[in-house]
Amino acid sequence: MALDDIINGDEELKNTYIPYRLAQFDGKTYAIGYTLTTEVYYYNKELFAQYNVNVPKTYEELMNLIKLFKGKGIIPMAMGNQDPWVGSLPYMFVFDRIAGPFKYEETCFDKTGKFTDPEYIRAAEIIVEIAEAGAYPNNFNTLNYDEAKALFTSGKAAMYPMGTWELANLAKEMGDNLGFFNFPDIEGGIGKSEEDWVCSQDGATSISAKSSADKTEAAIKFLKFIFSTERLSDLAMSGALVPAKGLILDETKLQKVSIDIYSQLENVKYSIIPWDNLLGPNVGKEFNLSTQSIYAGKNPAEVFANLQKIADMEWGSK
Amino acid sequence: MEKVLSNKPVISMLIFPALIIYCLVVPIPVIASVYYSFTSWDLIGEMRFSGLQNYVNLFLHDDIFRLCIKNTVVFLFVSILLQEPAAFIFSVLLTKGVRGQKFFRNLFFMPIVFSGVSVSLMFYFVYHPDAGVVNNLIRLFGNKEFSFAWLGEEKTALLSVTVALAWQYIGYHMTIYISGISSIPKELFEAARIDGANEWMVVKHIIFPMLMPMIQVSMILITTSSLKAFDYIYIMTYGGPAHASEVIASHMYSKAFVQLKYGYGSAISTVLMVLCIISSVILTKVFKDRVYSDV
Amino acid sequence: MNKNAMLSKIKYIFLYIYSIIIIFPLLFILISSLKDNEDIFTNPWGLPKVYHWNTYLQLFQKYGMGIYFLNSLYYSILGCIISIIVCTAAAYAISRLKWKLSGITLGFLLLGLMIPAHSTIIPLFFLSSKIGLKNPKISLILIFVAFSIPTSVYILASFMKSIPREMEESAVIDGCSIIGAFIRIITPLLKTPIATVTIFTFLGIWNDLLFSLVFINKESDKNLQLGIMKFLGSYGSRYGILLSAIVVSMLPAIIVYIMLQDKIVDGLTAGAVKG
Repeated sequence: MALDDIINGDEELKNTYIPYRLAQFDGKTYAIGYTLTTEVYYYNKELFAQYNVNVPKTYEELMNLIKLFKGKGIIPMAMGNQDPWVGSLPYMFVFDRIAGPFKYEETCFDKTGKFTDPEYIRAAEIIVEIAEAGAYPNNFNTLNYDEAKALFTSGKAAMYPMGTWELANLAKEMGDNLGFFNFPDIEGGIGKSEEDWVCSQDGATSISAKSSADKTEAAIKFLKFIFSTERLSDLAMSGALVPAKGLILDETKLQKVSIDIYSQLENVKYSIIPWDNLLGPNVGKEFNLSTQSIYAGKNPAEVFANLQKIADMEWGSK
Repeated sequence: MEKVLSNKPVISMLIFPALIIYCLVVPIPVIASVYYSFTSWDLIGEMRFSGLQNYVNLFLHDDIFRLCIKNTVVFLFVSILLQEPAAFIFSVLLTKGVRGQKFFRNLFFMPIVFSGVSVSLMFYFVYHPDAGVVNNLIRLFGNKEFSFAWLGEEKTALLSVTVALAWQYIGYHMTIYISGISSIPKELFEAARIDGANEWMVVKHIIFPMLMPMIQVSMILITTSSLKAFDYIYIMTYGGPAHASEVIASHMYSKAFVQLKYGYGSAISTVLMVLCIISSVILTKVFKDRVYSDV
Repeated sequence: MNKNAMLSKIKYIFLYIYSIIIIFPLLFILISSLKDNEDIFTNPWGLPKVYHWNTYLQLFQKYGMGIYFLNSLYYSILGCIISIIVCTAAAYAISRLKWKLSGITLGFLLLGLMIPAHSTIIPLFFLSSKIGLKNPKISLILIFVAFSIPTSVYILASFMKSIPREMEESAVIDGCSIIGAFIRIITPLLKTPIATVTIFTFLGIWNDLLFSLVFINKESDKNLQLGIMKFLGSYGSRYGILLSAIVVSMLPAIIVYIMLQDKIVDGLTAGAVKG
């Protein structure tokens, strides 16, 4: 059943809960998630300080960073694309910055758009640009996930595009040295670094429309309890990332980087759901393999034409 | 005595356990599998009869499947090339009474007792771009920076897997041939020597023809096992990069158990079974004319 | 005779080269398993600078290697026992008792040789989840036994055909039932084929991956092959552990092989040739 009335009717829930697209259908909210994972570019603050550089605000600045680090013998970005979804992270970012946060829904949600549209190809060209500038380690396309992570934690790589499930681990290894930023804006594009983040929610809780009246009553009470600011704050303190604002966070007990993420998350307007989740096990896997092929040098137009063919077969061509 | 030997209840009791277990696990599921291949089914939804739709998709629209067929065929031919001549040569060498013959025979055969998993993991490391044997060897003799990813590059992934397979199975085929050569009557060799035949002629005119039944066995084995190859691909490359090393068995696994398309997966496994049967029949026919049962 | 001597040398070179090809990767894995990561990358050819025996300990203490081993033993031994009992009985009925369908039954069982396991796995998977066989151990063992039936029955039946009829006749005359004759007189004669069949079946179960992969979900049920696969995934960068796992998985096979070399070679080829 739709939860909007419950949420809007409760002062606390309304202020805490940040609606994210995943749980909505026909414009109404049907589930609330209580943990969140998002994807960012982690960076090594020490290395940045050592070379006197700042977090990039534009794509141009990012490319300069890459060239600088490469010139100094430091791997600009750690990436291990042996699991092909890793390499699709930059792609989703780039795509958003060019085409804005809603374009991907045409192919991933509505299944009406085509992967062969020009924005997809353009985004592919850009990730190749990044790779060819020497951003990634040797053999990154077959590099193992753990080895890539080790490159970053040991200080051999300056940046590391990855998800927040690694936040606790990385913070443990790097302490205050760990920073993060969202992929910068691309000039002439629609998406905004400040507002568009790639996130997905877990722990979705919903209430069955078929429940009896008093069961629904109890469920609503439970919902309000779980999603009260108090409970959510406790959850956040235990290390999980919670999709809510106005949480009470004890700064002395939580890593600074986590607190920073929360404050940034408050500005998020659009959450982009990782595409492979939406596309399902077949097309999603093929999407990841597509970006991997593109890094390997295949022609993006061809690769995406193939992807579209597979998508058509999966959902019946429209 | 006749009556005792035809005691029906006893016979039933002896044969039924095996028969029941066998039927439950082999023929019945096979028939079920063929039936499923005509449905569209993903375990959660309902099973809908979809006729030949799966097969149509498979052969006309599934580019990956076409790649699998090509890969499986390449896999088969390269395996034959790597394993059969070597097996034959070693079997000839090791039936002459060379010193340490037993040692060599048993050593070459040993890899067969390992599991596909162990061998695959071992070769995963052997092929590792930075730490592996192959690249380290190449670095010894040349380019110090060489770090080619054998299992990660499109052109070499499949072939690298066949090398691993050959490592394990050359000894097996060799031993089959050795048992064949050992059963060739000694008189033939003596007669040939008396007639002045040299080694090469002995091989060509005596060993090779007499070994035909063994070659047939070996070829059937290598064909069916290449068609079925799963462990090695699953572990070393998982069908990658981007399906470059995808074979029929791995594609079936992916469709059925990862993407939960059981109907489609069943279609693939039915095709696999048909291929196994057809190739066994063809090979038997091909060798029928060449196998001499009596000299 | 110089040409002959050279030819002979070349033959030996071939043999030695292939011997090295076989032994070398094994040795490399063994030695590398004792090195730490740095050592593996910087010192590939030398002996370990520091011997890290603790990876082997860790395998068993932290990573559950012992459980995988025990599970594999469980599946293999149980599978073998059931298979031998069931197959010997069936082979006896087929080869020595008189009934019209014996030939057809044998042919029917042998058809199984041509059928790849892959064609049965989807329905079996569905069937076992429908029946609610929560314990994969039962379904797995039955499946292993079933696939061992064609080869085992064939080998046993072929052997039994060559036993002289007099064996049962004299027992029956003395008042023994046919089953009694089977158990007490024929079975003791089957040491060789049973040994062959055991090796086949045991090896087949011990080394299985496909069925284990599909049917086993709980960590505590995993057999050795399935278990060691995890060392490739999340521990990919700690090579010491991966390599130690490989060594541990290969060691039993090597040890048993060295002890029983000839038997194994003869057994496995006999089976293959007849098939």
